Amino acid sequence: MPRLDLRERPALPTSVQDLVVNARGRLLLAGILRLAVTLLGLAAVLSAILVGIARFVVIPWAEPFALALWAASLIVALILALIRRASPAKAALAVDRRLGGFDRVSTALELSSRVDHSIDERRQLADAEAWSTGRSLDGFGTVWPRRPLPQLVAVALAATLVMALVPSSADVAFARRQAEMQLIENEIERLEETAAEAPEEVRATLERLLEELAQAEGLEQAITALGEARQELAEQADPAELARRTALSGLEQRLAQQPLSNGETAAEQLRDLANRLSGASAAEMIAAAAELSARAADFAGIDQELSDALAAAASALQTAAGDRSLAGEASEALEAAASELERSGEEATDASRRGEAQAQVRDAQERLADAQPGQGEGQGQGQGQGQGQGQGQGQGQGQGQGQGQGQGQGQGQGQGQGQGTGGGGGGGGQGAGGSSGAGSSGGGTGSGSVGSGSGDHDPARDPERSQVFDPIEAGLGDEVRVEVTGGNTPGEPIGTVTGQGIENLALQSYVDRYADYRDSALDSLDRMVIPQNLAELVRQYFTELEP
Amino acid sequence: MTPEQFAETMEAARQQVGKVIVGQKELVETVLVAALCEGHVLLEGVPGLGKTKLLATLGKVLDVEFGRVQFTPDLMPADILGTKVLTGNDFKFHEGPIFANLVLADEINRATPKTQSALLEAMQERRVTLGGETHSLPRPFLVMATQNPIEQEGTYPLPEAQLDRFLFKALVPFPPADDIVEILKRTTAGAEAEPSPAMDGEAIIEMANMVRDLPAGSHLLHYAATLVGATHPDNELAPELVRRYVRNGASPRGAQALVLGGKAYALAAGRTNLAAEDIWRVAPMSLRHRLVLGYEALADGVRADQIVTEVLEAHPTPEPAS
Repeated sequence: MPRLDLRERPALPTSVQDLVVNARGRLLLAGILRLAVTLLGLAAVLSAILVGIARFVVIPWAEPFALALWAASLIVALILALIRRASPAKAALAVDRRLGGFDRVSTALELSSRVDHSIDERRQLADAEAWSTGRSLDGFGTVWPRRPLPQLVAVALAATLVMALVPSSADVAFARRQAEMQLIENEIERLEETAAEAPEEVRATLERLLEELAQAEGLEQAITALGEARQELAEQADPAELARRTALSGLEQRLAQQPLSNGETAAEQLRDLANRLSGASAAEMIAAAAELSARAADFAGIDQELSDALAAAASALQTAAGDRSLAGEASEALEAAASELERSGEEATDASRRGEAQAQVRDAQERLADAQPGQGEGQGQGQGQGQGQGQGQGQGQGQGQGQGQGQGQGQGQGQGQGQGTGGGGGGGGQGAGGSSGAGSSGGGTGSGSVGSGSGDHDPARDPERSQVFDPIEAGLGDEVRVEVTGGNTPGEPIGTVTGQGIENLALQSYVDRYADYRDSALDSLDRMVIPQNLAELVRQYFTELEP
Repeated sequence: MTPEQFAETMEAARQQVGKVIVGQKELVETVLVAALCEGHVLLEGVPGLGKTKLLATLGKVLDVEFGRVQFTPDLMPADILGTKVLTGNDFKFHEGPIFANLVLADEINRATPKTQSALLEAMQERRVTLGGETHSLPRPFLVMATQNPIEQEGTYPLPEAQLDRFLFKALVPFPPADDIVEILKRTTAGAEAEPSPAMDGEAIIEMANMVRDLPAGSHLLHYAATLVGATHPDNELAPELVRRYVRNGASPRGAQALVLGGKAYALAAGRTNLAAEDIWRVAPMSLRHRLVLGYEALADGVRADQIVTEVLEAHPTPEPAS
């Protein structure tokens, strides 16, 4: 035993202090591990049960919740261990109990805090110092919790991990559903943008559609909702809009090439002509009247109000050319025609947006149908037929105008096989193909006929079919007279229509157009899943049309 | 005196007692520890186990004034305490056998309660009051009593107050065969060995002071209090056995016995502070006679030692003092 120094108040011997500090650290570590294993064990068991159930029932939050449970158990264990950390007195007691200290350390710890020390107390401190000097914590015990708890926890964790990592039918279903919901979400975002720019009536339909899509629980519901919306949009569409847009486009192009007056648009030219009508010569008035009269005929049956306004303006100009005093009335008629022209343009713009919205809905439905396993092919075919019907009607009118055929062709290409099939049927009717197609085998038939009938507006001019009319690519030609056939008896003339024919820039090489359409159609065949007989029919169609 | 010297003196006393007493090391240790605590001891055992022999030997080893009282049913208090005798014109006090450093109260439970109670003041206050006069008893003053098991005929169970005044109650076990053979060798052939004094009265007092001055952590004092508290059936710390079988638990004297006896054991082991192990060691002898068991315990054959063991198991280690 060390010799006592009775002169100074002894502090806690360093060796005792070190022993207590080290023991405290060991106790803290042991406490953390014990609590962590215990709580993690509970968490592991709970998560194993949860993840196990999630293998049979779709519980989207099962695995994240299990991970969170593990993390929370570790954090709670750490916090609890720190809160319940052994005090120095407790650590000293642990040293005494586990290392056989016979309360030397704990008593010394207490005595060191006193001010006055008796000889016996100093002796005790010296004894504690001697005992603790060089003593290690080897016999203090392991910091690991007793078996078999750690092993059980490891088993539970492993079981949870295995169940979480090995895909189950529920996981596949959940992943598919997630993917479906993501697809739907993507379509919602696209359609929201479309709805923002759509006309009011279309917007209302799209907003209802968006609500249904947001509440859809899967692709099937979403596709159904899209189909219904598409049908609704189709019902809202005016079949004459396509013809009107074509006619308006032709009018603008015509006046751009042969302006009546100053102005960038047709309406501006009419207003400018109205303003300077008093200074115009009679010849200018007559020429303008003739031009307006021709344009009025373009819009007959398509936009009758505009046609009437243009006709009225032409008539007023004709009258004013003979009687200058009536120039004021002619100016008013021109102003009215300009206003009608603007109105018709606005309506056409709305129709165009409606069409865009309809196309967006159709594309969304097709994308979702493609993403739907198993059922996608069947639904895709059904949709193709539905589209064909709509186009068939449009073509019938377009052909009558001559200009409408070009539009019809564009749509015909976009529709793919369903339209191609119809084209075969409508080809014989040439210009009347649209009407014959619509009347016979549905939309697909009608739309396809656009391609064939458009070029045959005037066989006298182009008996070899070496050129076709394409107003989108170039301007209009001279005025022509088109014999319209079709109806219930294909090939039988049902009347004639006078309109802008094909000439000069509007005439395009049939070979080139044919090649474009054929390539586009065949490309569509490669990309789309359609019945083999329909694909063969399309190929046969283009073979027959091959120049 | 240092702890080492304390332990050496204890060892010397053990060896001297061992010359006469065969085996019974625990018992000898208990008696010596009680002596160094200046505490009284009650030895209980069937006749013939050497209780009286042990205490008589202790009297010689301790080299203090030894007094012996054989308790019988007709023993009167004056026979123990002393009496006034008319000498000339005055009554002069004649000290009884209790005025000794070491008093052997042999078969104490054979005396009537009246006579037993005569020891109360002496054992606790270390003085005797007789006829209005108080007489201090010498120091050290140790009462070493023996008693037969209370089931024996013609005995008067010691009252609780009397029992509580004994620091320890030691049970004298029946010796093993080897020890009996050794006893036979020593007592049936030749002269018996005579022990030598190992310490005197002054040494006992000095050692008793050392015992009292020995440092004891407050957590151990709390532990002693916890153990004693746990012997009370209405205490929240009491284990199930206590709640079922104990009518009254140990008194604070029980806690004193735990600490004081523990300190003496610690010094006897050469240590410089009280330890929980010391308290565990003295717990049975300190508490067993302080527990008042109910009729259920008697009916179920539950003994006080079982209760004490249960209490120790319920509170195995001390907790840090708050």
